[in-house]
Amino acid sequence: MLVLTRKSGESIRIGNNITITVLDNSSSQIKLGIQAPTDIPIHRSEVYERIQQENRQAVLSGTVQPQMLKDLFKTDPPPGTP
Amino acid sequence: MNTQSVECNQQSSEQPALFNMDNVQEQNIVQFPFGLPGFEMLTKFLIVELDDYPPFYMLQSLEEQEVTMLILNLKLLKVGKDIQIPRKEYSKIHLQDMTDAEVYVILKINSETHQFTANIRAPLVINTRERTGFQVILENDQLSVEHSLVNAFVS
Repeated sequence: MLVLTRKSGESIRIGNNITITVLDNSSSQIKLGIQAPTDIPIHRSEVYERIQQENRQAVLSGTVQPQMLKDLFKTDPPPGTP
Repeated sequence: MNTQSVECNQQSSEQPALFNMDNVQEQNIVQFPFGLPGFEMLTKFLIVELDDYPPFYMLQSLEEQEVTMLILNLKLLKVGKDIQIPRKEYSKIHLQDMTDAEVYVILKINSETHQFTANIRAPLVINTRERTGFQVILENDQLSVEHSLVNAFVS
């Protein structure tokens, strides 16, 4: 991992169009400002990793039977469902 | 991308098929230019309505067909009216506004309890005109990745 030391107000540049600025590091947290093209998704890592995990768990396994889909609405029928 | 071979369009003979691959058309194909979190390399998916199991839809990778998930239109859920997709997110798939969009949520099934939950923190936004899609991760951490579907539907 590349390690750079930056003071508050200083920034780093990644590629042609991404700039990350240290806005404030006066408390135990560090505030970062990120300038990047709007089509680049930016997420807190732990949130992104949680969604990765959820997506992997949502993949249907062989244990899922079509009957389970029918059972779901036995108590809570959505509109238009017989 | 990866070296894993992909089986052709065969459903397992031991499990009843949820939908008939013969009915799949070009209009069911949606490009996800960013992939999905956890499946970043998969960019081409089918979204097929399950006629026998309304109101479910199936999201299936065309590149790795084992990657198949159940999804549901967010507007069917009571919580749907409270969920706003920020412009900076939907503009990633060239949407000017949400009139050409459909929003789905990915479902997860607990295989022991058969309970379903929906990930309302990270909905799928589909540009229905361009057939492109994107999984948004919303900032609001009050939105659950495991939203219960019990009594969750709009009446």
